[in-house]
Amino acid sequence: MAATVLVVDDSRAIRQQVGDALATAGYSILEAEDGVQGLLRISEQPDIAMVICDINMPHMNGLEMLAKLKADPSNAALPVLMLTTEGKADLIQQAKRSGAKGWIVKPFKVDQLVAAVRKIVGR
Amino acid sequence: MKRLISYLVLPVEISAFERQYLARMNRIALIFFFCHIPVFIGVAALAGTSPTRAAILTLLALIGPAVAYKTLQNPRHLSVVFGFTAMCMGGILVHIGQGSMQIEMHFYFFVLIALLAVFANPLAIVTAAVTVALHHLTLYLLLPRSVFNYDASIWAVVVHFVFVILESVAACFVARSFFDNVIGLEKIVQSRTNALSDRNRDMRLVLDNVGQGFLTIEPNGTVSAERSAIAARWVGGYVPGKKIWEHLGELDSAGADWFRVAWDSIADDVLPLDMSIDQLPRRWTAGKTTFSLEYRPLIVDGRLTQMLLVMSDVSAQLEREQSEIEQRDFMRLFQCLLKDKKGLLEFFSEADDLVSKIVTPEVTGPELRRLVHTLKGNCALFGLSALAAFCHDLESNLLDAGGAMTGSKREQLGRIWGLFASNLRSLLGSDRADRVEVDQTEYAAVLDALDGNAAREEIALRIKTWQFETARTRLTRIAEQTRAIGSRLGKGSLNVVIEPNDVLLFPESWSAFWSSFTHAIRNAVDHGIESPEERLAVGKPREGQIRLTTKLLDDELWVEIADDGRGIAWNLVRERAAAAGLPHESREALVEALFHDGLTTKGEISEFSGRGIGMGAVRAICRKMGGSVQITSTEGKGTCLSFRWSNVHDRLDALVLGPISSPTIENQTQEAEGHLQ
Repeated sequence: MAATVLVVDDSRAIRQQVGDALATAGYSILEAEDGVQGLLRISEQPDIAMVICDINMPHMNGLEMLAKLKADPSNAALPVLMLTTEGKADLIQQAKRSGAKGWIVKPFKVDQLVAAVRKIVGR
Repeated sequence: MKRLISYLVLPVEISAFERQYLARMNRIALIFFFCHIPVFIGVAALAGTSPTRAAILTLLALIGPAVAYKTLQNPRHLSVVFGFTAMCMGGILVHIGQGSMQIEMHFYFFVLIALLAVFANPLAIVTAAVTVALHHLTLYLLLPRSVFNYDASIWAVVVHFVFVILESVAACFVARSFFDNVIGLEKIVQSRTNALSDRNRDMRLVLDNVGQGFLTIEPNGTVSAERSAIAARWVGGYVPGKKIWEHLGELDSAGADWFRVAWDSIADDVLPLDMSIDQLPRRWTAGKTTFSLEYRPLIVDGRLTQMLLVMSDVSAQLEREQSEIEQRDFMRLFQCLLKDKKGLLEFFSEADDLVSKIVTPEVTGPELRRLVHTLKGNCALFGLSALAAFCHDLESNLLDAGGAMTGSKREQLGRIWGLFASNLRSLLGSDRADRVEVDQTEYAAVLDALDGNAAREEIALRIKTWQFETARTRLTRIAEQTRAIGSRLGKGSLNVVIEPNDVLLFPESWSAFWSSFTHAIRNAVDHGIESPEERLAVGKPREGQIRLTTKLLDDELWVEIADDGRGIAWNLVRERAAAAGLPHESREALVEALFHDGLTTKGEISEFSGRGIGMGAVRAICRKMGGSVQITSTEGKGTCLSFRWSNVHDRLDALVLGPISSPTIENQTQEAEGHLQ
């Protein structure tokens, strides 16, 4: 069965771009516009294999979402890849402390992102 | 014979390794032979011969090698001396070992010949063989008891001699093989090493003389000692354990942390290696110098063993590119100046004001974001791409950094703006503020009025309006901006209609409003007007329409922008308002939410709009000037934004004028009656 990837970003353009590329690579995609929706999707869909999450979002940003996600033991092992802009070393360090698996700088090459997902999800 | 000699005699050259090896062997040999003194004394005592004679003979035999050890420079010559010494020792042992065991003492010759192979020198063995042969023959003839304990025939000497020859052949073979395969191999390695170091030297010469710097970095970030001369000049010499971000951080500390986390991503091995490498900084600045950084991974068995960092000084190239951009922007500025000088001046004065506020450290948070956003929009409108792009980056940074702006960004903005301002001043000359420009028809009208009998106050009023701006001029300018935004946002060509009235506005008082009015234009074009394809699909004309109107209703001045786009998606506004914690129960509350900073129904952020900032700004300025905003929208039909100011006749910054009146004519237009408002 195709692994499910959750894409959390307030930019529809990014969600669409990432979603299309991953769907073409055979993943099934869930989308959320912010951290609140992201957590909701995770609670609804227990079989999510990984999360790609923007840092800067309204309502609940990516770091808050990550912290809440990792605080729940049932989701602590879920790999999360953060999206950020270049130069934000402190945000990345904070994300890694909070348990992010890795991070990607926007803009990125979509095929590389797919390769990264494949490496993390392993299928 | 020649081959035999070349086999027995070693090549003249002695490698450092051979010299070192023989020095050790010769020292051991000397000690070994000195140890013979007590042993031979003991043997003599056991054999019943004279221990004293044993001691004297052994000492005499040791004088030669001891002197040679001190004097000979060539270690191979010393080995040959030891070949001779060894046989002397054999002879002494046979001599002092006279008695029943004397024949067995001959074994020692064979032992010693075998041992001589350690010198890796066939000549030492040949010397020993010759020595022992002569020794036996001479003593057999002169002192046979010294050699044999029985009455041996000459054939016994011949048999001994044959055994010595046989063993010597074998020992020579071992010694020569030892030399060729061990000592000589070292020579081969040495010569290859020399060739390699020659090539390395040549290579280094090349590397040191190209314009790029080369550094090798270990996977943990430590910079190896190998680096080209230029790289050493740029980032400093080798310091054990020093990391690449520490080296680069000495050039520019600001990016060191970023480099470190980006490098950590490689070590974490979560992302594909090429992706992690792509995330490393590509540029590095050191004062006025900018370096480009390229990374070449060295992969062995699928693992990163080292990274080659190639640094190039690209300052000159960047300067050239920057100057091209500036040139292009300058040309656009020139075109704007020819087309709409007033508009450009107004933009300049407004933008100048914005920049001076933005670079003030006290201004932070939403206020700073609003200012940057407005400046960005205005710059984009006037085609100042470099400045607009800078503002766009700045805005993104502000969002991530919680609304704070770094000192270096402030400085950078000040520098870019300063350059633009000086360009503009050079285009305008210095007297722009001192001029009043009048078009020909107005000039003729006033002249005619002076020739006729128009009232003096009226003419004075007319001249006063020369510093005012007509609604037509303003709306024409806005219409051009609107079309420009439309084409940039992929909305195709827009049908922009202007409906001005005769109102005249004092530019300095209205510039802030018009400047923020561009937010309303952007919203209408970007959010309101659908793409040409969407419009055709819902049965609308391909070209979107924007209507810009100024009108007077009673004593109220209306400035309106109306589009025939998709209208406001109130459901979406409700959803967003609810999510943002804003009131969202009534239509009034939703209208209020539309003007709230940070609320946008737009899915993506463009250079022009989408961060939900502008609408709040335009309403704030309208209210500051005593006005109000009305919004009407029908989903699928369009939106109209109406800015209204009541009691216009009491305002000093707005005039409504008709044609110059003549005192003899009574039928004045309504507008002319209330000309001074």
